[in-house]
Amino acid sequence: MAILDVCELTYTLPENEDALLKNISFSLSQGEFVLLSGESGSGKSTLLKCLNGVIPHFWLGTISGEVRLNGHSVQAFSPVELIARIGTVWQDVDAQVLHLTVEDELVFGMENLGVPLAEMEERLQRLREIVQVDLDAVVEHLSGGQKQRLAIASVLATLPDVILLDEPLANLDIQSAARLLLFLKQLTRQGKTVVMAEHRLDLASSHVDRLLYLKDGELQRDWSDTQDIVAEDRRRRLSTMMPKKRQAKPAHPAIELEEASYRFGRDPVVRDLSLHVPQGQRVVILGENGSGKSTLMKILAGLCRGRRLSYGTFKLLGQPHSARDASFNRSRVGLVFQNPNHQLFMESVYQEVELAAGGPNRVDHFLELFGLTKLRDRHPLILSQGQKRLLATAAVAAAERPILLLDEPTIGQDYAHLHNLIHVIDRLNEKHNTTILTVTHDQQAAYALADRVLIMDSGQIVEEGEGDLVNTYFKRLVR
Amino acid sequence: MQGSAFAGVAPFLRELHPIVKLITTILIFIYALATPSPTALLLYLFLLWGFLLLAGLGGQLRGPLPYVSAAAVIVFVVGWLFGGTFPMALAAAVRFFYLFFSFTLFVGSTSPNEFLRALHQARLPWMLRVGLLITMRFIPVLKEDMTKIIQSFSLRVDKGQRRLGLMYRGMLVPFLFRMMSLSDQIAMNLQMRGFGTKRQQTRYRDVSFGSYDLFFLLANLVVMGTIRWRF
Repeated sequence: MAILDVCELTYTLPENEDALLKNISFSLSQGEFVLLSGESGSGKSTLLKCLNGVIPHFWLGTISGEVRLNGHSVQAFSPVELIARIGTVWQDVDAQVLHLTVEDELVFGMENLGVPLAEMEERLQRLREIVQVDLDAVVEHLSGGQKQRLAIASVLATLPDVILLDEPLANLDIQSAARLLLFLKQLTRQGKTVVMAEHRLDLASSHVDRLLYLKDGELQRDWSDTQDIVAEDRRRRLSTMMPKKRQAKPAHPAIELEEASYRFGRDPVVRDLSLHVPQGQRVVILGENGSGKSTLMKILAGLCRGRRLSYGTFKLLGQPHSARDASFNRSRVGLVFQNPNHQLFMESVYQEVELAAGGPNRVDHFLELFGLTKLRDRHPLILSQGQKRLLATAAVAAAERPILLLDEPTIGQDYAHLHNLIHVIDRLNEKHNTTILTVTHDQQAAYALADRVLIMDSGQIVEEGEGDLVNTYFKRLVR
Repeated sequence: MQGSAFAGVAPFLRELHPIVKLITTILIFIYALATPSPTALLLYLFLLWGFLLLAGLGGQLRGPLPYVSAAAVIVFVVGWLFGGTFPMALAAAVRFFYLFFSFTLFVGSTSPNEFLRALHQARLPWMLRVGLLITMRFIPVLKEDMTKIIQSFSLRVDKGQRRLGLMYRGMLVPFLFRMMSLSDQIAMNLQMRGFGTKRQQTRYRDVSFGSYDLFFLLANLVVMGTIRWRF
């Protein structure tokens, strides 16, 4: 018998005519590892919310059809009854992890469900093996991967049969992502059913048993042959991006940084790092979580100052960096942060670009370049995550600073948005000769965006080479 | 190495009952408001400072202290210039430190879950408990978000463009958006972890009042009363 049955499920938000989910039907068996894929806004997260009862228990709207758990309608269960059966790990683990220590986090759900103390102790020992950190470890000090494992372990504490995950790989480097996928696979072997919503197939396709592909709220395809899934992933990747090989031209230096170090407290985050980048070059920076990539970006953007920062030489476009002049970096460098929500604040897409671009002609040029013309009157904060990232990049690029820094531009991007973003970055580089430095964990994006690759570890550049180094690096990690 | 929460805090403060810590915090604040004499205020403040340093909270005081001092100086100058007497202005400035020290005493040594357990045992409504939990856990998250928002604004908007209205938009809109989405997610996550259910709950660790808690509370009251009475 199926553990989860979805029958002709349709869901519409209140005061909306268009349904977010349209007539979706499928069944999930015990121990299945299912990947829920599709473009941004295709309804993946909404479907997860229907599966775990958030819709209709917490979200309003019109729902027709049914989700059945072990033959009983999810609507018939109270939220408390559901948490012991279905566990959910949301995309933003910072909002999911509620306590200061690992132990507090793990016991919280069990305490609320009234699990007897002896049993709680026993479960805690098993969960400890999953989290792989001390029980009294401070949550704030855990890495992204460790927090992700903690969030999963705290959900497993209530012994659910089904585990739902919303984009769990988004913030993880490839090694952490591979470890997480292997761990989820182990859970399915223990009889848990795992449903994972994820934009991208490249990391997950070889681990899952089944792929459900959503488009515009409809279940477009259901692959259950693993070879078909891997083949589909390859097809999409190949059609998405191919790197542009270009001849290196002699150029003036854009960035000259020598012996730069930056400490956070007593720990050095960047150590004796030297970097020279000529104008117009596209550089991709790779490395594990915590290797100092984002800090390097912040140093270049002038956001790391004071006694914690030291350097031998720091020049941008031939001019020595001035710690006293706050506008020095601002006039030369544009930085697109990881989270676009921190960067958008105007009332419309047009105004966001206008703030940097100046005249209306230039606004139109950048809106067109980034494919945002149709959205020009929309409020930025109601756009999809992929659109927001594109807009944040457009808003920074419109200032036409000669150096553009992109920190994880691929997070939350489906193939179509990723393809678009890479295309735009390429055009920006070609038309305006912008020097572009990109930090990413994404193999395809890195390959497509690199004239030159830098690999960082423990705050230093440990290896560098041409675009082909991307594939060598990722192969090495997977091994 | 992840480090233990409150590892540097001395056991005589860490192991105090959370509600006793909360009551002490409130008492300190009431003392600050109800004591007009700058001598009495300063004397207890120095004792409190010494206590916090002994308890291992020096590191937590060091970071914000320059900002609190700057704010206190502003309060003192404004108070003195606009009609107040020197002692009144000084007392107003010193109260700023009281607020900061008492907050550090509580937040710097109390785990949210331990506090929740204590409040649950005291039968406080869950809505009140959730508010306190969110405040304690998510202040650092929001602080980090605010830093990123300010950095992002400073990089996007040139100095010449920085009108008050734009600065208000640039800082406040993303911050409010983040606060709203975070609170929405936290509320849902709490409910999905069974928080606030009417089921019989169990506690992994019991939090109970001991003779040391009573002694601490009384000793503090005696010190406060003596200083207040003598000065």
